[in-house]
Amino acid sequence: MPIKTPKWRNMVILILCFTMLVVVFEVFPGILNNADLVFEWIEQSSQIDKSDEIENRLTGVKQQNSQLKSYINNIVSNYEEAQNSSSILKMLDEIATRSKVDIEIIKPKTIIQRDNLWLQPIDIVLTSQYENYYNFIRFLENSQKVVLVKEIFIESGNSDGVELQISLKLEVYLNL
Amino acid sequence: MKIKDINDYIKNVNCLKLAGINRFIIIDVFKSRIDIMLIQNKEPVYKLTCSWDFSNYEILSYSTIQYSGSIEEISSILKEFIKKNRAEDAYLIIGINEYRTKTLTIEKEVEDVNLWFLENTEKFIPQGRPSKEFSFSYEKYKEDDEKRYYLIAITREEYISSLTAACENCGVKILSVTAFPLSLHSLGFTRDIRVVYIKISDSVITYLHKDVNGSLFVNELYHRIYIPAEEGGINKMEAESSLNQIAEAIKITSTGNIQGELHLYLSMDKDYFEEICESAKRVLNPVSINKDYEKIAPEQLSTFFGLLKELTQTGDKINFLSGEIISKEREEIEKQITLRVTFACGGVLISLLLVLFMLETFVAGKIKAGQEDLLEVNAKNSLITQFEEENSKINLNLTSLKTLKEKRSAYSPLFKNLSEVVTAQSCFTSLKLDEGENDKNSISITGIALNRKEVALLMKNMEDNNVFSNILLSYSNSISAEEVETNIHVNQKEVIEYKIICEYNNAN
Repeated sequence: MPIKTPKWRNMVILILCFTMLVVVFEVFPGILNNADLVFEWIEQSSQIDKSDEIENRLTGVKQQNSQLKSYINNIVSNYEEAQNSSSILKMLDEIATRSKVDIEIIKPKTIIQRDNLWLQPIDIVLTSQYENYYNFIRFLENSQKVVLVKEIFIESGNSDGVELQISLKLEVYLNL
Repeated sequence: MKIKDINDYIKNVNCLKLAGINRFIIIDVFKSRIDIMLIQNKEPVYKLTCSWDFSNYEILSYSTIQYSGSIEEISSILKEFIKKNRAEDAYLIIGINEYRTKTLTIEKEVEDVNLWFLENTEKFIPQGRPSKEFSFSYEKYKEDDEKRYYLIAITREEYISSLTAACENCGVKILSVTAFPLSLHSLGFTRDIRVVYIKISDSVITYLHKDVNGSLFVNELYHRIYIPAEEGGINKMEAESSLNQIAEAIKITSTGNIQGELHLYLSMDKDYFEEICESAKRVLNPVSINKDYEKIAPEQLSTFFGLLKELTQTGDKINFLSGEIISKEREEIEKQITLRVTFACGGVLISLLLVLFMLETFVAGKIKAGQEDLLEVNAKNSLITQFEEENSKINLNLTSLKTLKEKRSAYSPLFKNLSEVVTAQSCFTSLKLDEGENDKNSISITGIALNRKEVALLMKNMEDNNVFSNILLSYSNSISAEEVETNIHVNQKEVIEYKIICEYNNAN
């Protein structure tokens, strides 16, 4: 040490020690803290920079979702909006009108879930001539919606044997 | 970096540099001439050690002034120089040329060297003269296992005190009063080489020889080399003769054991430098002349080496300045060092903390500003995840529904098949169909036929049609034709009521 006078030498040592203490306990933690903040800022900036990409992805998945929903709505009955089976009944009524069969009884049962899909069991009793009934079945089978005929019971409806009384058990799939 | 390196660095830290003193006035006082130089150390502030490199120094002013030999005149010359060069802050190094030198050897067992010198003044002070009349200063130039070797310079006490007083009158702070020709051997760059330093002044030639082992020989020759300009300016014969004497003295004092190449440093009037160099090359056969200091004027070399010694030598060095003045100046310099260290540390800490605070504020502000955008991005990400999950679920449902749709039973062909198998003399009265597994549905048919043959024919027709299988006749009864509610006209009293159970293969 070039300083020979004890007073000044001790003072210089004291100042250097104090400086070291401040550096170790104040400056170093400050540097580390700042480094953390800078890294956080860089990460945040990189995420924000991807905003456009995320927006595009969101638009893409939204469109895909909308297409899928539209597609699935074509093949299942719309229960989600109406929250009742009116649309199903309307569909069946339309098919019946078109195929000239008379629905005597229509009885929707409790909605059930099977293999993650929701379906509405419906019992229908109708009267019609054989040919009209045949058309009714054909319409149901070729319907865009997934309607499954689970059971059929046909018997003569009146004395002349022209009218048939038909009981059907259907399963109509829903968009739930 | 090793601890030894750090220790060496700390040991070589220069007090003057640390105290911020970088301008020096160096005067070399002769009997009738003063060489005066203002020099500045240009090394950066953070470099705390001084180098021997001449490029780090700048000679701001240099002049050679003739004077009457009066000490008072030195004061006025110095004052004028300081005023002219605005060098009030510069520290003064005084070089004297009225001194005698001697080398001494002291046994290593002597503990207090200062006391030894005080007790043995008769060994180096002129005989028969009171020691009070003389001032002496010494420095160690070599040390081995048994002895310490000292170079001692002696001058008149009255000369030093009057010179010091004259210089103090000018208001400058004096660092040392020394003999410049005795500087070279202590400079670091000469440590492991053999050097001869020759200083040629008006009436005296001082020379110094240091061999590779550090042994020193110093002497003076009282020859007048410079002669009036009209007579040629230099006495070549005298110069040649002096150099021969120097060569001879070196040979004798080295006891025939001269090792290493000789490097010559020559300080003299630049006008005759080349001529003396030629002679020196012939006589002394040096490998270099003024090596690394070729750019400095030869007459300035001596004073520059005096400064280098002051800045780079850390141990004891020849200094005739009184102990009182040395202590006072040292105290002043060390106080300045403490102040500078305090300000430097404080400045560095404040700057660091300020920079850190500003950086933290800036970055925290940026992060805060980006929080909203980040929330939006996160919300979008969350939406994307939700949509993707939903899409995946819908896709799965779609696959299941497609399978269901493709595999759903087709009953319309059944009715067509039934119309194909029914006979002309039979009819169906009821049909019950239950969907079974593996595309096989069970059918239960009741009907009436005119006779049992028709029932058998009906069953045969069903068997022939490959969509029906496991055809069983559940029963067949004769009933009265009146009981039958049918539009078929029956001419007989009894008809056959039957029931057939079979399986309908939906896959066909």
